[in-house]
Amino acid sequence: MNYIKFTDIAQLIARLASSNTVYVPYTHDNKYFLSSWNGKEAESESFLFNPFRTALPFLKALFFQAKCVVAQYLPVSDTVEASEKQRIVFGVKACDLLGKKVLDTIFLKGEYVDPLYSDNSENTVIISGDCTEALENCFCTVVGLQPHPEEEYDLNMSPINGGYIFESGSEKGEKIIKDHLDLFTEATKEHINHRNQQRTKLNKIVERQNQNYKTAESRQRIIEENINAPIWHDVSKTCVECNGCNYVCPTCYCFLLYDQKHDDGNERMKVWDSCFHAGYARMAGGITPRLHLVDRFKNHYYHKFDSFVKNYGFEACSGCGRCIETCMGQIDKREVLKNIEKYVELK
Amino acid sequence: MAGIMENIFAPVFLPLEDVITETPTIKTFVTCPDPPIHFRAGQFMQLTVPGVGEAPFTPSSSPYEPERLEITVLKAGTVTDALHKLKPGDIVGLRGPFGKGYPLEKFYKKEILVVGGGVGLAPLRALLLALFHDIDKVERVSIKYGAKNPEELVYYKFFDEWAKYKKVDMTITIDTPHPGWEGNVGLVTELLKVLDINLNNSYSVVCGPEVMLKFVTLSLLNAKFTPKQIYLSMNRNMSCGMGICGRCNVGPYYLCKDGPDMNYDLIKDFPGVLG
Repeated sequence: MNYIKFTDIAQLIARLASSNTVYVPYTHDNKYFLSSWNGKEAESESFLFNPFRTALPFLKALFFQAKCVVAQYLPVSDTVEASEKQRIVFGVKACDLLGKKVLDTIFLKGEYVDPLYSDNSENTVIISGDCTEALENCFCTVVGLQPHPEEEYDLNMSPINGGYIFESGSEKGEKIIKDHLDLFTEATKEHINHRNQQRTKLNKIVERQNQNYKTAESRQRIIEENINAPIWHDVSKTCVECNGCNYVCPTCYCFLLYDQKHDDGNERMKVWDSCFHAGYARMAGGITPRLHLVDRFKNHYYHKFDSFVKNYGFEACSGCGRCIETCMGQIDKREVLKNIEKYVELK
Repeated sequence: MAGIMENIFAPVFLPLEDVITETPTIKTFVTCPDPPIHFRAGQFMQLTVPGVGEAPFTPSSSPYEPERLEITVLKAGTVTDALHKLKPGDIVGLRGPFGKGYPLEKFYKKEILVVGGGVGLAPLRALLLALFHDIDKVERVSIKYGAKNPEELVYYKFFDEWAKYKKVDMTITIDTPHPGWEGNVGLVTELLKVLDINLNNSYSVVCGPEVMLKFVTLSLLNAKFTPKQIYLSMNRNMSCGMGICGRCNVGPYYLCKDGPDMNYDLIKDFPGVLG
């Protein structure tokens, strides 16, 4: 593990930005977003570390764009474009990395590889960071994560007094440290102790704010046993099908393919889709397998907490809480699950 | 199995060799892929109409003649409307084959009850041709087929040929009375009320519109078929074909990857299986 002083981080980023596109956090309206590092201001501008996740699932959007061309045909063209420059992304949190793990499982590790996702993924270096504050909707500890990254990163940074500890998680990450070794020193035991104390402290905070949402049964079992229970009508009654929860979710990966004419040829587009939408999965002739909202609502939970576990061995929810933050019907996933579990008890 | 595509989303393009009008609403589109596309009966292809989009269809021709791929299509939506306007020589795209297809090996030494409704006979034709190819291996093939009216009986011209096989019998019906029609009248479920099949040694395979799948399944259960003996062709709106885009899931299964022909026992407890 290596240590870098606060005062040197801007220089590291400026160096990285000379041959890469570097995305760094910025703040607006008490929320965090990512944007590319502006080289001109590099010397005057200091790096801003985001203490909690960004408002939107930026990492997902980088690998699996909201809308992209996946094929061009008649005439056939090879230009399924990935960005040329390597991208380095700061500001990623443990919840975003679980999102990446879900997407990798789907787009890289199945029977077929999505070529554009694969290019985007290979072409990106992820520099994640520990969370040092929790948002009121954060519930990563409920779904078995910690508020600091434990896997899926290339480099992880933990802010401590005076600087950051950098821990590498891949060869890509290791190379960045090696190439800029003059900016780093070896992290001391003291540094690491400090980091670990901070981690424990935040972990407790997240656990404490979620203590009422602990379920006795596993979420998979809660859903499996109640998939046809009438309680779903109650928990879904304020949903207005805005699809917002799907679009801000770092693990949602459903997509729609459609074709359109472009210049003299044709192109096939891939866009994010939403399972809450009434037209989702509609067939020719107008038949929809999940006609009622409650069926689509149920399917969303069933997929994240039951069928994904059956198929891939882990839950497709990172506890980032973005779906809670965005929901205009004030639906809270934690409460939904708790209410369904309570329903079991009443039965 | 990586299919025929280099890029999983990009189809391979080829001209239509022939377009056969089957009924007023159904046409068969013939292509001669080179190299041939090898598929199992029941596996499906994504067929692209350039600039319009793609839709999933199960080939209706014999899997033993992959050099001539036939796809029979009902005019029912955006892609199929555009497809029905195409002529021989026009270009279409293909991705696939996808899915598992029918478990043919399980059908050997069994009596197979094949129940079709409307254009649902198209995927079943590939199955029938595969079964006829190895007719010695099966005990019996009993076909029950229904369509709206005599004009909409797809593959009518082949029925005599099929019924010539010793082990094959075929009964057809039309939904409502029609001038000049002297055969059975009533929904295909009517044909299931009196079955002379050996229940202990049989499987049934059903393909048709969603509502027909529902009532045929209920009829079969009523006739004492067990859920394990029923295969449903759940040809829904599969899109990616790889079990990832999310639109064709039934419980933990993706119809495109695990089907589209599903054993009813596997899916019967999940919501939204039968309309």
